[in-house]
Amino acid sequence: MPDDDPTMRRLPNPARMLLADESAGEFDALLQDYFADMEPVGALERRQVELILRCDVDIDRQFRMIAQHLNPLGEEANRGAQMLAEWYRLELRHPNAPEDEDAQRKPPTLTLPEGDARLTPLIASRYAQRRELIALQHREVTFAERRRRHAIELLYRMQDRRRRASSQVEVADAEVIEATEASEA
Amino acid sequence: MSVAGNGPSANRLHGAQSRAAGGDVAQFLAEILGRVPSHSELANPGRLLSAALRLADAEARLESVYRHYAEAQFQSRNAELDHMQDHLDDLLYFAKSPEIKAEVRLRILRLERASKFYSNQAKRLAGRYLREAQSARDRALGDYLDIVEAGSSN
Repeated sequence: MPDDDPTMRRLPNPARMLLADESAGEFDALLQDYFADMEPVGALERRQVELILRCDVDIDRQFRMIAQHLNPLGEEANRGAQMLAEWYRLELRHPNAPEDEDAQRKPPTLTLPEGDARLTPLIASRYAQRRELIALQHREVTFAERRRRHAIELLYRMQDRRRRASSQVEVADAEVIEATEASEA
Repeated sequence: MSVAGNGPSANRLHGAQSRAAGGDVAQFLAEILGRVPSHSELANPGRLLSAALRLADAEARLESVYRHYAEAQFQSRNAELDHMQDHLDDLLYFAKSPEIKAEVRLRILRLERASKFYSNQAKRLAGRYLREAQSARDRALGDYLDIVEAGSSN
């Protein structure tokens, strides 16, 4: 096993694994907290802690995406319907309508009031449009939680093995010292 | 006719079926062993080095599969079918016959459903590949640790 070098560069660069809305700095800070909690020794244990953190990032990511899918101001789900709506709009437009009318049709930027119960029907409608996708993401959350549990178990087993091995070495050293002292006496 | 694995289709394989990048495997191997193994060691690897090589390969593959998985999560549509939908959208403006226009409108809406279906399927596949790669890596890690433990107890 390699020596435990806390300055050893971690192999996977988190920037390769993170998406545009996730911060590599936050990932690193969180990883340091996990290292402090789980006290990994050696490259393999540290890698295991990183995989545990990655499962947590996955779970958080899936919930974030579900929230985005249910956002009433989110992107329109049906691209084909949008295409047809635009075609109908242009077909039905008066031939003398000014060209800059298109620019005026852009919807104003809206912000949602927080905790407003009147948004529930809109959210329910978004859910109905995307329920298959959302079910898929809930499934991925379940799988990520399972991977996380398994990764934690594996880390604990690795740490148990390491402690067992080091205690055996200590016992063997103690026996050697006792034998040396007895022969000297 | 090409044989799967060495024909042009081999480049399109992804997920757990793809071959891990050699540079990544070498990097993982050095990290696992704590040193870079010599060429002579690699030419005649012992049990420990073979297990470390298998683990490094599994780790590199897990990384590549995970990247694919993370990218697939934010895709909610199939790019190729969207491209076809764009062509149909163009046709809608240039076609003269009302029958053709009606058919084009119908197909745009059908492609909408297909695009979401294949995108969800790609997500499911990416998830399955990730679970397979993770299991393979955990098995390789277990084997490597067994050999390390056996070596240290001897």
